[in-house]
Amino acid sequence: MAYKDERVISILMEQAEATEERVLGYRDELKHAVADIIALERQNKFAKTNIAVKVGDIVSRVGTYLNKHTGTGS
Amino acid sequence: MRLIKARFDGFRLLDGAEFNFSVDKKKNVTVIRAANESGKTTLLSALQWALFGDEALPSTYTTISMDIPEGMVGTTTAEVTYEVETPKGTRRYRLVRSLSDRAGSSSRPKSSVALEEIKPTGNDSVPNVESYLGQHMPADLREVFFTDGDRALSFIEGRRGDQQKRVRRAIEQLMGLPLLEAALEHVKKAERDIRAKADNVSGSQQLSDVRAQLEALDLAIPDNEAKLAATTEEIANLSDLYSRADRTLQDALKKGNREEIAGDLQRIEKQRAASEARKRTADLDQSRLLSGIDFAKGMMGEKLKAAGKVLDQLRKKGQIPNSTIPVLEERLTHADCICGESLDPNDRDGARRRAHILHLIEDSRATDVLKSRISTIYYESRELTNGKMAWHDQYVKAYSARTREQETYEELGRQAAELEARLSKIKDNDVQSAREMRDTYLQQLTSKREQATRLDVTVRNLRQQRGERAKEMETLLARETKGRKFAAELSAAGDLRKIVEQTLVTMKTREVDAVSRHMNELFLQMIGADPDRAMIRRAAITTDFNIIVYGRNERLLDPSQDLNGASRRALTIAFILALTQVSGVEAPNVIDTPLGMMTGFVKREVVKVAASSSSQLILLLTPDEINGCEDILDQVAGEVVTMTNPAHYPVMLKHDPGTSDARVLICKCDHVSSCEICERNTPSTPKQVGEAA
Repeated sequence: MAYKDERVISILMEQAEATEERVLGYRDELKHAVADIIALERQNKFAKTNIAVKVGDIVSRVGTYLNKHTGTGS
Repeated sequence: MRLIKARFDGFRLLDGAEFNFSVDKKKNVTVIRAANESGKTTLLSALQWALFGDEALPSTYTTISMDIPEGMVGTTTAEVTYEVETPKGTRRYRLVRSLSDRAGSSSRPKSSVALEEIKPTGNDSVPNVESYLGQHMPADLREVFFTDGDRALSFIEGRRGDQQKRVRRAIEQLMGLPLLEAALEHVKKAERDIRAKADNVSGSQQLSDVRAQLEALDLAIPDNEAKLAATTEEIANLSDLYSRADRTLQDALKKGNREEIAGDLQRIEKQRAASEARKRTADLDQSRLLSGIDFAKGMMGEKLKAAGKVLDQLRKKGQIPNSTIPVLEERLTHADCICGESLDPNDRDGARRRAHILHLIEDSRATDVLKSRISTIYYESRELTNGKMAWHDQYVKAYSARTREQETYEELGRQAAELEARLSKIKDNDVQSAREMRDTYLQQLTSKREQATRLDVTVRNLRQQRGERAKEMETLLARETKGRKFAAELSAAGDLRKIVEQTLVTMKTREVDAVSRHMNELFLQMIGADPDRAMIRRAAITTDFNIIVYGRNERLLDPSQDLNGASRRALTIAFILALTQVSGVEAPNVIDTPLGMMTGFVKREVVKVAASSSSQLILLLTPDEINGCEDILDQVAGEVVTMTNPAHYPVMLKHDPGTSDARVLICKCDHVSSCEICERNTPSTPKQVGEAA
């Protein structure tokens, strides 16, 4: 009876694919980020964690990637 | 997840009750046969308690046996073995849940639970049991997978808003939407935190202002969204109430408006009075025809014609008319004769001639009486034999007119009686109150729709403003070297938020549509609806989570009112099966008494469709539900057992079970066989009882 997250993940990937590629590899970063966030949310449902901080870290990770590659031409 | 076996001790009627569930993929159905009051619903509750814990039962639900005396302690234990598919293969677990309760206590104590993984090398105790169980059997999904025929109907019955809530909840839970909503909230929070940090670091007043605006927008948007959702729900309920009120009004109008009917009655009475007057005139016309000359002509015409001929012959012979005397007498009044000679009495010749005429008069007077009478008849009968003989036609016309008027009079009398009967059945204010009620709902509905439109516009505007302010903030940040990092993070947060938001929208539309289409296929298959000829053409789930059905000519039907009991149940079972299939969640569907109110084709198809649409199907069926589906169960049922309540002896059970304990007996009898334990008396029909007497 366990949840099947495959459908949710596949649609998240579709949406990430449709997002602007602000810098090279940005979409892949977004895909990894949403997959990580969903995994954290699922985990949090059964064992409470400090999820807000963890999601913040993931967002920060993508932001850092974007900042690092912006203006570098890569 | 698949159930393998279960054992219950001290759970109400279930004591020492063991069940094996079919895990054969080709015969994936387990049938628990039990008559009414033989433990089916208890088993459904027991399974839910074992797997989902205390929350699965109402707090007042007592699990211990009814045989335990007041004040004494009873123990309830459930032991369930199940397996789950994991990326590392199939894993098997054994779950034991138990509690001890005192008979008569007002609240049920908390249960304790133990879980162990069954391994070839020996069982491993699992820590954090509830967490594990939550992953294997999420409580959110319980009501979809464990249900009964009546409870499933709540998806299409009751208040419209409540129906929508239940359908939405079921879909959202199975599709994992709460997970996405939680993720969205956390991403939004991260976005807010980044803005706050950026604001602190930059110290720019403009940035601070934009941030404050964004903070306000972030509060206003969900607030207005919640108001819009609440208004939408109110609209759904009001639409439902309006439809019902309109139907009541239509029914009342069919019965008729009291004032209108009274008016109709008055009009009919007037027409009836006029008809009565016309009828009287027709009576007179008819009676006049029976006493007039034409009647005589009609009755005696032929005879008179014959007599007329004889009289004509006599006239031609000069025998009639007997006109000599009046002619001669008339001539004596003149001074001369018709031949020109004088009749002057003073003249000698004239006097002689007058004497001759008087003599002739005297002679004529001597003519026989018969000749005189014949003359009279001749003259008087000429009126009867001359002219058209139209009496018959006139009489037919008059008779038809009178008959027609009589019929009109009687018909108006019937109409008046019918109106009087209707009038006596109608309350004074039926139509008026129904119309007022409908108009009130319509007014409220219109007002709510306008409110919803305003809220929708507000939400759109607020979202647009948020987008603009976010962009402005990013631009301001990008101007400063130390702000660029935050600008990048905000861009990332915004992109992540949009991805999750758009995924939610997609899930709510595309996936709901998939459930809708699949539900329609299963439903039409269950009820055997021919797409070209059936009364019910298709079923669907609307974007606002209503389950609706269309009839011929795309006419919208209300499932709770326009479908029969069997179709209603088939529709809700189709919804559950479609939902579980589209979600991809593999779990047993446990359904108590799903085939109630179903017979024949629909019942058989529901069993077939449910078996082929479930990964594992556990049906709790009465013998009546099984009746007519035996051959299908032969094909799809991998496990069948029978539960019998010994308290049913001797009224319903044929043999003495040897116990009167309040616990069901379980035998291996399948859906077609019976034994000393489960064999039941054949219910006697009134005819049989009469024959026996």
